Amino acid sequence: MGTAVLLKNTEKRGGMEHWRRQETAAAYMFSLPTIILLLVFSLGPAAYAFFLSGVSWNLLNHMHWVGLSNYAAILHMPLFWTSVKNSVIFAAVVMPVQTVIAMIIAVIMNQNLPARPIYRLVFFFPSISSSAVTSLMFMWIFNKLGLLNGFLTMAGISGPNWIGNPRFALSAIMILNIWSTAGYFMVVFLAGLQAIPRTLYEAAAIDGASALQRFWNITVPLLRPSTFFIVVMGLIGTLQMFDQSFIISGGTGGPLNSTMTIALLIYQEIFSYGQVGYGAAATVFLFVLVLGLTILTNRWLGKPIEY
Amino acid sequence: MKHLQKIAQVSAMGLSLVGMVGCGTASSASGSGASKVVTIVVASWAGTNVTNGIIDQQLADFNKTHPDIHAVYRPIAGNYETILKTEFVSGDAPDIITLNNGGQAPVFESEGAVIPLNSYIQKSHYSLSDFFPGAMNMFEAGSTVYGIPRDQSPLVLYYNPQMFKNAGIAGPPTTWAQLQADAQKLTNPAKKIYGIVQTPQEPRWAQFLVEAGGNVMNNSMTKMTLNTPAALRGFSFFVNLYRSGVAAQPSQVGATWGGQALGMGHAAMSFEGAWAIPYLQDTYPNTPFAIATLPKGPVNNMSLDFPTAWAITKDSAHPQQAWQVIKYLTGQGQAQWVEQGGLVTVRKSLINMPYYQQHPIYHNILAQLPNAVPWNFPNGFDQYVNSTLSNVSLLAVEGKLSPQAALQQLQSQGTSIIQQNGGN
Repeated sequence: MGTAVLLKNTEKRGGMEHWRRQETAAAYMFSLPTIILLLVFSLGPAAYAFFLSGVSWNLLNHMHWVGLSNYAAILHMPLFWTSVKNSVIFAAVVMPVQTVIAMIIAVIMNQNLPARPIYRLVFFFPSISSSAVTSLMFMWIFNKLGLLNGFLTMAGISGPNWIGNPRFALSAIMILNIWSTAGYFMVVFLAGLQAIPRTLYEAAAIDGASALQRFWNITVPLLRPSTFFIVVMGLIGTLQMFDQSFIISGGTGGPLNSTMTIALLIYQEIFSYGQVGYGAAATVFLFVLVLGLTILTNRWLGKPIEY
Repeated sequence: MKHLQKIAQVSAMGLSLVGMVGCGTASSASGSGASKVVTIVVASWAGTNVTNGIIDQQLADFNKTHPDIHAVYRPIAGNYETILKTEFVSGDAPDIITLNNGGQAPVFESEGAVIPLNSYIQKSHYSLSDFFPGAMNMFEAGSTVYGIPRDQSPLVLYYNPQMFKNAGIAGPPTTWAQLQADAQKLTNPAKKIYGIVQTPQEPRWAQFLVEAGGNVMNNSMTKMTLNTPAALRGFSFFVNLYRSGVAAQPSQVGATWGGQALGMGHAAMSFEGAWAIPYLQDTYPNTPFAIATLPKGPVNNMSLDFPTAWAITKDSAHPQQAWQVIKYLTGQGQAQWVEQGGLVTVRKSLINMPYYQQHPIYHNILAQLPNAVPWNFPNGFDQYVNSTLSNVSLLAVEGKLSPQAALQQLQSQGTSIIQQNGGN
């Protein structure tokens, strides 16, 4: 239909207005496949999750409406609060650490070092590897008799049972996550660094600013758009962490629920325990949490740069 | 001109999309309409290549003799029951599914996802008397039959005969006291070798409760029975193996399960089922292993049994044909299943088949079969089985909860699930 309208308009030979309308229509036509995909696979299911949070359903029986009682149920569930605690601790540690590491590596990679492309590849490689593969790899590194404990033994430290001990399991996943995402964010920072005018550094150098002063007073503030993007993406990514917990704990969130994240709980409630309503209610909770934190971050870092 | 080009491109894209969709529907329509052959989809978990190969071959053999039915195998990779449930939701459920133990079968049965087979059994005069009662009972609710057993395995004692020889122990333990004493002798923490390596999960300790005369639930699965002295006696014995240092968790020796620890040479003994045989032979060909029946407790040497069964789903459009497939798989197919898969038969008449005589490693697994109770839980116990039981037993094994307190917790949590389900 859209095509027919466009053809008719072209025949009429209108002015600027027609031309604009055609352009807009063509633009919509080109984005239509994406818009449809987004509606069907992203926004639609998201809206459906809100609906599901009000039903009682175990996937095999008939669903019936229960209103807000799923929210009441999960708020009284100790396991839900364990998962919230784990996710928040995970985000609070991983997001800042990966941001700082990514920034430092990016600044180093931005210097004229020999074999720079190789280092960039090495640091970026983890983020293009499948998280299932890297999780399996780290399971061997964190094995009681594995690589990490082997190094610790050389240093005279008796390493813990990283994955089997509830005190260390989440930390092991934190290390894995920082390792795998810092490289991706490094590339974002690198792009940000190249946009900072060289002249600012030259002027500061002439004024006698040290390298550290230039980093703090020029690089860090002028990287703010990149930092904002990285902090928001990092927050969303860490609060929604699922795959690494799932693989390392074998889907249980164990040992003793120490690696149970909100996303893993949602999966378990819906698919393993037949409590679709609980899972959907936890999904809405996670949505509100991420939305709130993103708005706060926007207030803090989302301002435009003022020179 | 440029616009015309763009427009032409867009419309071409649109047309080709429409064309593709059109092709898709056209071909699928002709596929089902052209001939009178009925397609039956058979699903099971994509476990070992062994199982997949056998099902494929059995269905191929079946298709040769049944020209009006085309049975195809759909292996489900990953979390089997989870994916199966989503297939029910999307209306794409297979005709035949494999029902699993551990409380998964009752979920599908009580929600009506699988259909009763009684009328088909009666019409075709199919005899159920040849099946081991443990395997058969698990897929019955009252007099309603929901599944025909496929294979099973009881827990047995795997041990490393070389380690036993080196420690000067004549043979595998036959009593609890010997189990404890042998494990003590075989443990060498400096070398990371433990008498027993085993995950402290319920399907590895419930047999001790039965051996002491107790159980987790009563036979009709309407009551938790973890508060009995017999249950405490069995559970305490299990926990004490760890507390006294002669048993270890697999992760303590860098393994993920008992069979792996045995293969790696970190375990002298472990409790596993027949599934560990091909694993150990293929993965650790240099580690010797042997199998014994379970050591006897105060009352008996009962084991847990892990049967599976074929069932027909409610979504099947051709249950009559699906039943033909099940009849074949559990009849003629059953012997093949053993010969090629090295699995434990569910038919009493096959226990003396040549395969088992040529493979003496199965001898004690078959000897354990008459003394085994199926591992089962009622609907609603998913979370309890997958998470609560392992967490609480882990706390007991690590000494953070006394065996008595652990059982009390499990008793009360299980009871509240039963009450909730009763209230529904």
